[in-house]
Formats: sequence, structure tokens, C-alpha cells
Amino acid sequence: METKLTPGGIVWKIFKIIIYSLMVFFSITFVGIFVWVLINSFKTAPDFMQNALGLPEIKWDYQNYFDIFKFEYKNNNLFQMLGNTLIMIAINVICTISFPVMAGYVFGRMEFKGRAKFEAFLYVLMTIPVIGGASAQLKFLSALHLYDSYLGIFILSSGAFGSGMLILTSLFRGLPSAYAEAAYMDGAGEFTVFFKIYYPQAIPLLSINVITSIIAVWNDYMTAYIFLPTHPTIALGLQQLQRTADVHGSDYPLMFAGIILTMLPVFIVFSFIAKNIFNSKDIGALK
Amino acid sequence: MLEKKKSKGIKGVIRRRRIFIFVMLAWPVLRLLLEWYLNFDIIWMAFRDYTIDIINGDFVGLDNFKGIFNLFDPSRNTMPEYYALLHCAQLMLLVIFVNAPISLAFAYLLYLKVKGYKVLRYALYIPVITSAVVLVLAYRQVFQPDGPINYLYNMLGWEWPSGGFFSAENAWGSIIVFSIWTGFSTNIIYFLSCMRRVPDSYVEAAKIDGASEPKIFFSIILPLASPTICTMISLGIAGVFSWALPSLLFVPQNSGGYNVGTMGLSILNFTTGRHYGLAAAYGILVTLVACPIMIGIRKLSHKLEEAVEY
Repeated sequence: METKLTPGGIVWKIFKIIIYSLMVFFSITFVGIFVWVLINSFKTAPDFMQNALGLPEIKWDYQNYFDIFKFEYKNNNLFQMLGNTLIMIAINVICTISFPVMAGYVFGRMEFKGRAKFEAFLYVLMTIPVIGGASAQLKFLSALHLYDSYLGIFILSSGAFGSGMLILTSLFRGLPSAYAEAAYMDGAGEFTVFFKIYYPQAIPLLSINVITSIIAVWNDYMTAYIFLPTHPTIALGLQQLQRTADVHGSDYPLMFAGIILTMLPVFIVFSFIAKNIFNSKDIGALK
Repeated sequence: MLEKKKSKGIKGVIRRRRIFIFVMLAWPVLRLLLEWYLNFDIIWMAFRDYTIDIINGDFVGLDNFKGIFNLFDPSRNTMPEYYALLHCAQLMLLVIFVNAPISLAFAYLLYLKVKGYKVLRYALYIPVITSAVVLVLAYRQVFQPDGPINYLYNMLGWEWPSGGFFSAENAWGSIIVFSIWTGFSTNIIYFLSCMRRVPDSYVEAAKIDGASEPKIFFSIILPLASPTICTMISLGIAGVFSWALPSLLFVPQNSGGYNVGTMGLSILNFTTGRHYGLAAAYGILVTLVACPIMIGIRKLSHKLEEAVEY
């Protein structure tokens, strides 16, 4: 039996068709732009200048993918930039899987005097946007001789109170107490209960946080630009490559090879966790 | 005797719990204190000049604030700072009236599992996992005279803008288009996730009562998703105050005449140029503007949250 559409229903259907078309259009642009970059990364510079749209006319040139490794910025070659990026990733992963979980667990599961007030106070602090903090951070790091050092980056990255902690707090609060109570009865201490019972239950959410943090750090250009000038990361190096290409106006295919190489690890890492991110209900708990 | 032992045991448990809480919160609280020390330090820095003494600075009274207000004076500047303010206002409108509705509509269709939704959600997520540097590079190349957009223009017989899309006159318009293009992807995941949290029983009951699809969307899904929508909008607006990267990447280095400034870009330029006093003074002024807006949005969000608790 076919239901007859009301005028409102027809408008709604047209609206959905328009939105769907827009979605398809945006998707094509996102994918298309990278296909274009990929194809052009196999061209020589003169070939690209004459033929930016089609397939390589002279030959598929893989040389850009070798030449890109000769690129240097502030005495760092691509491998050193990769090393710098991996250190930054390690720092951020350690911070992601430790401090917000510790704070989230205490606020989510422990009862202590002043907890509610402290939590409310934290919400207020998080609401206040403080702009221009980088200047104070730079001054602070310079005073402690931590400017341009990884220890300085660790201190700046190790904040626990943020949206990540709020989601973890709500996750821990919603978990049942039965296992923990049984463990307490068996003489387990607080640390055992935390590490053996509750921490593992946060791992699915944490794995999403870790992957998104790896992707964010891999793509982050600002932190190295402001706080680590002599330890450029891949993203900062790529930006410098763009500046060089802009000035010389010629070697865009080399830069395209850099873009593809930079994106490849992110896509691989993301493919492992994509399903979890898309199907997660926890992310939407951010309120 | 037994009572005494029991009370000693309880005291031990309480003591161990206190130690546990102390250990767990020690670094997070210390780091919070450092953060707020730095936040208050901005006030101290706003009244000092760090050109000579980079650590302690020299007291200069209100000079930094005067310096910032002078930036807004059109008789002193070819590119007065009120353009930065205007650009930020435009970006805020974009966050509220363009990016949020687009991402909500896209998330809803993905929630309904429309045809090809698995591929579409991957494709729409590309900007989130891609560096802004890469996105700007790719976007710029596509709009170059030898890029595909020019090909499209020729095909349709349209006139190519004078000076191209990234000339001093057209750069801001291109940045706005770029911000729309890349601005909705993060929201989609959050909106989709909170739509999934809506209990199926609510939707099923509405369907049994004969509610139409628009009715279900506007009466169930949208109200239940509204706290998350509010939060994402507030995060988007908070981001506008420190928004700098696309302007920085779009414009050639050391080039004047480009009207692409934002408040965040000015603060960043002061910071990297080691004009800490000016950066701090500008930061305080922007914070004073941002605070009531953010607190207002948070209050609204809490009200919505209380109204739709599920």
C-alpha cells in the first residue's frame, strides 16, 4: 500500500534530495581534490605547467617521491622531521591515556568532600575562553629554559581538564559497581580496582581519543611553529615546502608528492578506527 | 575489641582512598594551577614591554592597550584592525548559520542510513583527518589559473576574477568558501553520535502514533540533540577568537595589502614577533568580548540539557 504524500511531506522529500545532492557534491570534491593531487604528483614540473588537468603526458614520473627525501628545513631532512613528529605523537598519546582518565575516574566514581563543588568550579573555568595564552606560555617556557624543548611541550600538553575528561567522567559514572565491590571484598586496593576493572572499560573510548590525537598531532603545524622552531614536524616542513614552491613557482609536483606521503599514514591509521568513530555513541555525550 | 578493629579498618580504607585521590589528581590539579597562573600572567604582561627584557619586561602602563586601540584607527593604518573584527563576526555567522545547519542536515541523512551512507561518511570526514596545510595547498592549486576550476569557468563561459581567487582583493572571499568547505566535518561525527543515542523506543512510539518524519525530527531528534548542537556551536565560536591558520597559509609571506586579518592572526603575529605585551593586551580585550558570549551559550546549553535529559 502506497502512502499518499502530503504537501509538507513533498517539501521534506525535496529538502532531503537537495541535502543528499550537496552531500554527494562535497564528498566528490574531497575525494576529487586528492585524486588530482595524486595524479599531479607523478608529473614533471614542465608537464604540470602545461597540463595541470589531465594524466601525465610525457611519462608517469616517480622521481618526485625520491626527491622529496632530499628536502631539508632548518637542517632537518624528512626523516628527522618524521622523528620529531613521532616524539610529539608519543608525548600526546601518553598525555591522552593518562591524565584525563585519572581525573575522569576520580570525578566519575569517587565520593569525597567538595567533589561536586570542585567539579562545578571546573565547568566554570572551562567556560572562560582565555585568548592570547601562547605569549604567556612562551615567556614561561623561556624563563625555565624549556623553550624549543620536548619537556616544555609535555608540560603544555598534559592538561587533564577538558572535553575528553568530561566524556570519561560520564563514562565512568555510568559503569556498574558490582565488579569493583566484589574486588574490594576480595581485598583489592583502589589502584587495582582502577587499573584492572575500570581502566580496561575505558579503552574503546580511549583508542578513539588516541587515534584522533595521533592524527591531530601529525597534522599540527602551529605547535612546532610557535614552540619548537628548530624541531620542525612533517606538517611544518610541508608548509615550508609550499612557501618554497610559491617563491620559485615551479616545483609543485614535488610538493604534491609530499602531500601524498604525508597523508598516507593518516589514512592508514584512520582506517583502523573509522568504524568505531562512526558508530560511537560516547562522542555525542559531549554536552 | 572487634569494634575497635573494625573502626581501624574503616579508617585505613578512608586513608588509602584519600592517598589514591591525591595521587590521581596531583598532576591534573598542578597543571590546572599552572594554566591559571599563566592566564593571570597575561594580565601582568599586558602592562609591560618585553622588547629588551624578555623574561621580566619593563612596566609601560597602558601603552600596550593604546597600541592596540591605535590599530583600529584608519588614519594611522592602511588596513585598520576593525576588519579583523568584521572578519571574526563573519566567521561566527558562518559557524552558526551555515556550518552547523549543514552538518546537522548531513548527520541526519547519515543517521537515516541513506543510499551510500558508508562511503559518504568516510568522504565527508576527510577534512578532519587532513592537515589544514594540505587542505589549503590542495584548495589553492585547484583555484589557480591552471587548475580544474579555471577549466570549468572556460567551459561555462564565465569570466575569471581579475587577479585570480587569491589576489589581495579576493583572498578573504576564497577563505570564507574554504571555511565552509572544510568547516562542517567535525560536527557531523558529534551530531551523528548524539542522534544514535536517541532511544529507538522514542522513535518507534512516535511512528506507531502516526508521526511523520519531519515531526519525528523536529519533536524528538532535534530537541534531544540540542545540547550537543549548542556545545559544538560554542566550540566553533570559541575557535573563531583564535582563528588564524587559513589566513596565515593563504597569504604569501611578507606580503602587504591582503585584507585577511582576524583577531587570532594579530595575536599570533604579536606572539611570534615576540611582542608579548601587545599579544597579552589584545588577548585580554578579546577575552572580555568572548567571555559573555561563551557563558551565555553555555547557560543556554545547560538549560536545554536539563529540559531533554534522557
